[in-house]
Amino acid sequence: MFKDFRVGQYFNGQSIVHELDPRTKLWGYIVLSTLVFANGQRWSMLCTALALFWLMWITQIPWRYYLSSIKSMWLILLITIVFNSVRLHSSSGLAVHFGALSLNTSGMLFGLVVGVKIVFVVLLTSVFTFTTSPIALSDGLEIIFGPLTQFGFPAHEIALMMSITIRFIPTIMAEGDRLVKALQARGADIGGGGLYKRARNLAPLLIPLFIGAFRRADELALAMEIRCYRGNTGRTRYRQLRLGRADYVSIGALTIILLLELGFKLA
Amino acid sequence: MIELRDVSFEYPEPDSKIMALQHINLAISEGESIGIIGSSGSGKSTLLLHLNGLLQPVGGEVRFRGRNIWEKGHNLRNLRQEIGFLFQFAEANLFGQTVYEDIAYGLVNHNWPEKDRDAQVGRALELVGLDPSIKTRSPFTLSGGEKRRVALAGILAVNPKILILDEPTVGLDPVTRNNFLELVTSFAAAGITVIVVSHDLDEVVRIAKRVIVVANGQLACDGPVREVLSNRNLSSWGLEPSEIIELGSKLGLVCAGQPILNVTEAVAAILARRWRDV
Repeated sequence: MFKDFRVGQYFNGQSIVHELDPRTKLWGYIVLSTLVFANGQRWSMLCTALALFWLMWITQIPWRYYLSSIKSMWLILLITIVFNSVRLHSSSGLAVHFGALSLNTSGMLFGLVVGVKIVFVVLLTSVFTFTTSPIALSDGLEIIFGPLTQFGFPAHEIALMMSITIRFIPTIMAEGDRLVKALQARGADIGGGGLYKRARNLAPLLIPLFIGAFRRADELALAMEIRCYRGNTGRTRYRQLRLGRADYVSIGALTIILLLELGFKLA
Repeated sequence: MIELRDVSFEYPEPDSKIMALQHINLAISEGESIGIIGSSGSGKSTLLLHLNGLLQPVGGEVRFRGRNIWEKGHNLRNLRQEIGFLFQFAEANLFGQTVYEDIAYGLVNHNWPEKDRDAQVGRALELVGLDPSIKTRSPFTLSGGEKRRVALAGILAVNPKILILDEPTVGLDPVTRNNFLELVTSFAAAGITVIVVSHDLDEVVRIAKRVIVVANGQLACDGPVREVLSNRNLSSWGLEPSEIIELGSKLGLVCAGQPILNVTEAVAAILARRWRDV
């Protein structure tokens, strides 16, 4: 169950995507996510899908890990598709009515498109997190948000919070998996039964999971204090981020794609 | 009772090319007390998780009372009632609002009649040496040692025939650790099959009669505790002999013709030598 949740996990590798500067990958993430949600046309979806699969292929990370990212989101996907498929008093196409609500072919198609878009974003997030270490991500975010510090924006703190969050997703998932096993060992049927039963069976997980997360946060804060962490004050960098040729090419290509998309939208 | 036939397991990670378990063959009989030892990452915990069906092997069979536990129609829940499993730092798994709720969790899952639950919880608390008045308290207000006893009571409440303990005393202070070990030893003496994983060889000596060494996912050694712990290959399996065994070996101490295993035997051997010298 938890062991399949891969979002936020980093896989060490030497692919061109791994080697890209985190700022380039962040820009790519923003551009591609915008493309996914801005356009619902078939050709655009197809182009995005092809670009996405090409990216996944060149990361050299086994496909099953991308699949497990989607698998772990199945409930959210299902809810999204159902909610987007159901319409109020719609009569277009074949329709099944449930009181004030109706389910019709156009609604189902819309729900499906939204579902596919979510799959794309999950895969895109996976490409991003699988190939970017939390430290690189934190550095990249801090540089991007850097200019905003003039206006009191806590760029360093936000970058650190985000990287810590991403860093701890796999840890919390591993802990969740261990807890599931501990409950199963006591006869709990975690994966069985209907949706309500499954949700109820998961309740005993939440308390130890939250206690563990708070304890870990407390320990991390103490460890940082002990090592004299003072935020960004007087901080120098061991790792200097530098954009390479691949970064400039990628940023240029992504920007052109975004401008073209905007052009098509406005035209 | 439990049998592993050619069991192999691999964690599905991209970097792990080494299998966590490789072709393990093992038979555990009723009433045995077994210690499983090995260095960190050797596969001990993975092996334990196979014993009550928490992991499914990628190759081979796990058999319980002669039946493959992964064959169609086999009820894993019944198996888990018979095989109690105390996880490492088990107190971190407590969740109930009261001690009673936590201990009764297994009873509810295994559909014990409601009328018997009170008695079972009371019995389990008695077994682990806790006062019955603790039932109404929140488990989160207890001391570390008490929490671990509550976790053990939750396992014992369903009357398991086999008790699996993964590093049961890790993180406990010496006195609590000693009390906990006495408790586990008493279960072994009462005929419950006890399987314990530990890094502490002195602890293994106190509980187990048979010791299994796991190294690099394979069974490196399996035999009586004295034979295994005085084995000269111990360091090649990533283990160090306990201080008392090492001392005994350096002083040439023997007890009934065998190398000594614990302080009691060492004292007996020294006294016997003194008598001989006199």
